[in-house]
Amino acid sequence: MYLTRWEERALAGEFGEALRLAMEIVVRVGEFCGAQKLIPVSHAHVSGVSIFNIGEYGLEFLEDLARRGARVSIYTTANPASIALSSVGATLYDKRVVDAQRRVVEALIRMGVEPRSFTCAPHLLREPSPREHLAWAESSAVILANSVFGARTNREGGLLALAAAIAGRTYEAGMHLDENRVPTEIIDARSIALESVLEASLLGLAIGSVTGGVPFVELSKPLRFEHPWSRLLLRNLLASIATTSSSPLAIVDGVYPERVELCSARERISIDVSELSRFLEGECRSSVALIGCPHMDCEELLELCRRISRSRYSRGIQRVLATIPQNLASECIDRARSILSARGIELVVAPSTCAVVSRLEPLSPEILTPHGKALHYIPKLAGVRACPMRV
Amino acid sequence: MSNACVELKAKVWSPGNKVVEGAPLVVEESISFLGDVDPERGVIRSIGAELRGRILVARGFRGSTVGSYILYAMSKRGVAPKAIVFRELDPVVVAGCVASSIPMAWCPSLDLSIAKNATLAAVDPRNSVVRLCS
Repeated sequence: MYLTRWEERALAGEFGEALRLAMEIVVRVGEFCGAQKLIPVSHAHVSGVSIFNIGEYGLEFLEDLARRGARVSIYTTANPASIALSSVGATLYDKRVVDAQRRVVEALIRMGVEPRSFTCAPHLLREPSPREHLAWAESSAVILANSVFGARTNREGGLLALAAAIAGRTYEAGMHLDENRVPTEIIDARSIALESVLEASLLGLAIGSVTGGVPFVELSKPLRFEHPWSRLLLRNLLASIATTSSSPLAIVDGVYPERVELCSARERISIDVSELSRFLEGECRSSVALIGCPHMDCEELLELCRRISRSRYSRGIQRVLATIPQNLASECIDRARSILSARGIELVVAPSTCAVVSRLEPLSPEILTPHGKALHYIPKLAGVRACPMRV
Repeated sequence: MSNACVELKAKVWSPGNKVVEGAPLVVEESISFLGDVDPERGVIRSIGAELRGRILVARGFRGSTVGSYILYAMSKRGVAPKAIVFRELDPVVVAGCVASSIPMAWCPSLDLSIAKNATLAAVDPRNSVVRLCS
């Protein structure tokens, strides 16, 4: 691999052990992935924050790295913690778990991670520019950055993203090269009405299960990122594609900011409404609903709460748990709360957290959610049943 | 070294460019470091096999970010494998091996049923090969 003089010196340890290790990780992963050189990145986003996910060994690594003086060299955000850190969580989990979770967050902040981040929607803190190179982990954020903003990022593992944050560089392969940003197939989903977050989610899960890498998606109606409801549908569609596939990019017709050639697409696959039910593990009911996977901005949250309050399917819901970015204005939360309370539903917010990566048995044995990513991961990671919520 | 050896082309990384050899531990299924491995003892739970001193030869790996940290934990406790050879590339494991100074080799032509009969495995960064001897 070609390295600049500075990169060689960093790799030789001239600027300290922490930078040497970070550079070594980025260079070796790059070599194994066939990269010819490194490229500077302007924003890294680190995953692997939940204590239920990385465990005591992840905590140990992060604390060791911080102790060895590792510091990020570029703007760096991090994924949400588990809900052990929220006021709800403090009552649900053992004090040791809560403490360990806090130490993970503290170690990351010591290394220079933006303390106001801890969200799976880093675009809310810093919007990516077209063609900008990033080193993001977190599948839902990666697919958004590539597919909507036209930025360039692979779907990094948490450790690689952290190493890239310290080195200020990542390896040039995959999504950083235009030749890989071409459709592998055309997905025809024009027969699906796309009228709910659940429907957009199920479609996304279906697309993810058939795509060969970069789907070109045709929908029944244009989705616009500028419009809150449309944005909610689009973000859930994309996050769900990234749930059942390793796709870092989906080219949604009318959304992707660049011109694309379709000749690379080998086949045309139609998905109709009958195929969506395959991704429902069966109906169930619960008095607890979860929203905010991925994290929503204020407009999206209010829009979803309005739809919940109007929906006939919301009968029986007593409590809505919303995982949110920590910088969401308190006026916004108050408005969401009053929308839901008019329907007799209590809103509980859990800032900077993700419920999907938390053990949820202490909360409820069954949880309603409209989000595809949550429907997929909750039974696997959170240990409870996920019920589809039609909204 | 015995006579019956096969050499397979591989992408190899080893700290200090050292050749590493040892008794292979062959696992034909993909391994998830979270769950399948006990990082305190360095043991693959399903088969009760110790990793220390062995060259782990595996089809590939499942799971995410946490795999890197499990490798690091094993290395710190002195119970990590001597090297890891895999057929399917997983960048998370590559990052984890570097962070833990565990030599590794990616060997796309690896045939696990043949590897099963090997009594000695070597990971050679100088010649970019994996050697399996029986």
